[in-house]
Amino acid sequence: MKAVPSRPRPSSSAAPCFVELSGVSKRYELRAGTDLLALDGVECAVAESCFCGIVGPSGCGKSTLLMLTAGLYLPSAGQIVVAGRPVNGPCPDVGMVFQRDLLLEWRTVIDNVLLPIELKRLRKADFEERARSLLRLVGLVGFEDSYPEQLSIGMRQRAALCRSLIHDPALLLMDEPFASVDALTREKLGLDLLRLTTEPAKTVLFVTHSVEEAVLLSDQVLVMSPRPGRILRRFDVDLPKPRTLASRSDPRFHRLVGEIRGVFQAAGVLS
Amino acid sequence: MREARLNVTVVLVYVLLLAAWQLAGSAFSVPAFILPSPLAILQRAARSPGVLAFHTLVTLQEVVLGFLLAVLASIPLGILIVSSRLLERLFYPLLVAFQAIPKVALAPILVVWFGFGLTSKVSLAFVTAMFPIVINTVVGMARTPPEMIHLMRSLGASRLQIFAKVRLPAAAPHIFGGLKVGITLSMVGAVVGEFIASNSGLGNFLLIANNAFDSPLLFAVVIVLSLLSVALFYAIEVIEALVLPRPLRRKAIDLELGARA
Repeated sequence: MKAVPSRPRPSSSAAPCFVELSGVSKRYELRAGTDLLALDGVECAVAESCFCGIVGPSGCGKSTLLMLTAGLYLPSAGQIVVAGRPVNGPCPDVGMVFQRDLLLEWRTVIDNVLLPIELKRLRKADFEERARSLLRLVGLVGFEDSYPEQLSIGMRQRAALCRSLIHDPALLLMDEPFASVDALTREKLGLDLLRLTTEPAKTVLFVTHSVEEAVLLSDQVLVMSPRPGRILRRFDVDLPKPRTLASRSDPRFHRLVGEIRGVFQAAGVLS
Repeated sequence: MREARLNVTVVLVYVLLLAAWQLAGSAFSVPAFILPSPLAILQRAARSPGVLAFHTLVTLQEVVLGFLLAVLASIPLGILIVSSRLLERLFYPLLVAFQAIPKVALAPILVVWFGFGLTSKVSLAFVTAMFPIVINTVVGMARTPPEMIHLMRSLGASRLQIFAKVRLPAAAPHIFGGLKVGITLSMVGAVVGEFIASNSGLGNFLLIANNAFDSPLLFAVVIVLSLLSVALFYAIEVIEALVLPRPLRRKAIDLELGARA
């Protein structure tokens, strides 16, 4: 597998990045007097270069967890530390991917990928080669100058993935990134994602509804409770690497999926 | 090729309709003061091209000035309404209440304020054009999904960057929709103003022709008015085509089709 070519970095040594949440709660004020407790005392630590899957029922605060980690909202209680620094505002060294690809329709694919560079007021020319090689890695050669409307949903999400990686962030936050992609493309995209985030290694928080997807891709799976969200259990995934579609037929894969389902059952999520 | 054939068909249909009108007048012996024939209208227009051109220019000037002022006021107002909840609470109900007033009712007040000249007509064209431009700006600006704002903020984007790189381009097809409605409405505003009190302009000329029982001239003025509206409308379309990148242009067409459906 080709590695992403070397790229300019703002500083020569990147800070070791890991994520630590201690006693994190988030309360949204809906109207005066009515509150919604989205997260309740979340404790978790994610090691550097760890691919961490987060699974939980709908509305359990998974997205809120990512928003807080990115510094887009501040927690109502508790503290979040990313790369050794407490988060108290938008974190600059983060890439985000959402369920919707959020490509700008009026920009070509390559200009969409270069958007973070533009926002950070770096020279676009310095990153164009990197953008092209990322697009090549996800199989979008020849679509650099197409508009998003000319791409399929899967291809659009690949372009969004390139956009999240262009500035080489240490931390990748993904909120159900493949939820609107068909099942076959979805597994392919997941394995592509692994390739892109192991070389160079990135810390990834990957929110998903699919237990199988979480187990297939992750080093560690966090299982969340229904709202208000808490971390119910943590599983280490000891499947051999690199993961392939064949990892799915490993007995350990099925055992883990079964165990995680068991946690949901015990919490009354699955019946 | 198909495009060319389409155009030929359109022209042919127009020619046929005009011919039918021409023939119908004599066939059913409709009196000329009720429905003058197209040729009679053309001949009447040809007899006083200078006067017609003079009044057209007066109206054009009123419409363009009023419309430009409306654009300058409405787009920023729309942006302000979207960007601040206080300003939304302040201006939005006011705007809707103002739109509920028939603009004709404002004409006498504006004449009292600004007199018989250009200013009263420009201000009426201005107030009639404003509403659709403000509303479409608001609708367009509000279209950006919250995740997009999250994404932009996570990349360290400032409010100005979010506005310039996401919100405004996303709103552009809607704003142009508002401009197209606005330009035709400002035409209505200007002519109504001329009806109420003026000494020149196509609306004024229409009244003169009416008082003189000059039906062919009356028709000629109405036709010039509608041609002027069409020309201004397409002028906006041309600007839109020059300003918007291709995918947004298609979106603008989709919007119009949606509005028609």
